[in-house]
Amino acid sequence: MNVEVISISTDTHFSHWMWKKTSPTIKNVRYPMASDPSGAVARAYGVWQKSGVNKRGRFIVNPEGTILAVEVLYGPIGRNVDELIRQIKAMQTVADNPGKAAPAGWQPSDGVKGLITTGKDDIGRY
Amino acid sequence: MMRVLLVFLAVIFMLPAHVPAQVLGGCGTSEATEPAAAPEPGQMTRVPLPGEQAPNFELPAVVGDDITTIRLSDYKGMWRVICFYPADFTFV
Repeated sequence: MNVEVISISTDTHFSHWMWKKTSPTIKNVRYPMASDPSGAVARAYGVWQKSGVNKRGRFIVNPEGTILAVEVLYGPIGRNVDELIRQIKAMQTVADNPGKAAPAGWQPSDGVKGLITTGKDDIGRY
Repeated sequence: MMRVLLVFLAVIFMLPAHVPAQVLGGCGTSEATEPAAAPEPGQMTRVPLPGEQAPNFELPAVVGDDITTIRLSDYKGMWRVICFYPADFTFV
């Protein structure tokens, strides 16, 4: 999918390394696990909290470096990876098909033929 | 015994260490690599909105079995997902 995931917490990189060595699931992680103990990067993304732990923030960045989607969850709510993949696939498919849009509920299996053409003629049709 | 040692090591490793974290300004066409004015500790900050440039950064990271330094701009030309999470040893 040509996607790189970067995870960031305020833990040290030693802690990341230890987590990787001790957790059977985290052991399999291949993406970079970055360490931001001062919270400088978390503050730049608005997800830093006084308690020292970050909110669960997720940013999708396109190849040009522009943020296309943001999700910030408060507290003990986990994320939905399927929805993340759906959004990235939709963005990639639309990026490859200028002038098209992925309508509500578009799924990766709908592919290019599931896209719609946008324009003022379409207002009120959906 | 091994277990005690692991816990001991984990505690040692979780002690604060000096880590050079840097915010480098906008990521993208300008490809900023100079340190940007990072928000002051405790300062309220806002979440950047869709359509804005992703703030570039430089951080130490664990990649595979290695400890190295990464920048967001290292992955220019790829789609990127940046995930912040509260702490190691929790769910994501």
